[in-house]
Amino acid sequence: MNEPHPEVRYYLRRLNELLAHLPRERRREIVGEIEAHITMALAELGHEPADHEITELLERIGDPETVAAEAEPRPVAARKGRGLEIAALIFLAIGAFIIPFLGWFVGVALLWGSPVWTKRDKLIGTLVVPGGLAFPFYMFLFGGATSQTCSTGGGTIIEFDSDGTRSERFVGGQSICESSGIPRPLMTLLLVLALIAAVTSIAYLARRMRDPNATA
Amino acid sequence: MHRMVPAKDGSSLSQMRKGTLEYCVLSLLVEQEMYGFDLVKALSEVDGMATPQGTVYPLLARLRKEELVSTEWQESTEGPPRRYYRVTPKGKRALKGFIEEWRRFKDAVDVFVERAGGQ
Repeated sequence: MNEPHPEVRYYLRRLNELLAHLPRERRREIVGEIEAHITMALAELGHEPADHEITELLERIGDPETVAAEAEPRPVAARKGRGLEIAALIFLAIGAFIIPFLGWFVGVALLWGSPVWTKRDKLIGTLVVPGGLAFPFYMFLFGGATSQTCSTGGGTIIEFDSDGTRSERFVGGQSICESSGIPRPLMTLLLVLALIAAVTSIAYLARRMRDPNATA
Repeated sequence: MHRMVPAKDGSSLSQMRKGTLEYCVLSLLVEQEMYGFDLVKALSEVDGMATPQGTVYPLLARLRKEELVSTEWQESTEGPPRRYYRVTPKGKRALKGFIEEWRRFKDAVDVFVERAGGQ
């Protein structure tokens, strides 16, 4: 088949997104069958399809939301309240401050335990950013400092005069300092990026919590 | 062939369609094994079964998962291999059960509806 028409490509991609909650094989089956249907329908036309013919075909097939609705729905939590999900977001964001280090893991556990988010959502929430807001915070505290290692050379010189008198002399050496660490401006940039990423990830999860059809 | 127009969700007609569509699909397949595309065309040829064509495919996937239909990949001259659908023995039994219930139901509804029709 020729390069799929952009409208068809968009349609199939949207359908694929809406079916993301299904097992991979089933999702592929449905999208694949619809793609085959489109191919057959266009082949029947016998000529290069005009734009409006493609639009009409897709309308007859139905918009992706309607088609996806026929597949098994996402198992949204039977309970009405989103208390657990809100707790998950809080612990993901600032859990590491509430319970040092472990608090964030509580958030992760709540995140993965909830049926409200898709696997993709959960991966985003876990990997962006590990530790939540604590990550940029600790970056700010420790990453900014450059460490210095100084060592002092020198030592004691023992001299013997010609008549045998022993004397000691301390000869001071140089103080050699090396500083290591990430340069300040770069560290600031990384910190800001981490902060933005952490906040964005929480906001994304919050939005997906309310509207499962919201795209990222 | 008319244009399919999806019924408004929640309307009694769309609910009745949803409940019976799978048995219409099974009935067609019992008659003859076919590709999904031909199945969808056959459905849309009958007036009154106007659901968006695309919704048949998730239904077919579900029927396959429930082992009421099975598929076989068939080579096709016009591109990649396609699924060829057929009814399983389990699907035949389910259809038979539905037909009995449907006949009884249809006759019962007709009794009342005919009465109203006379007014």
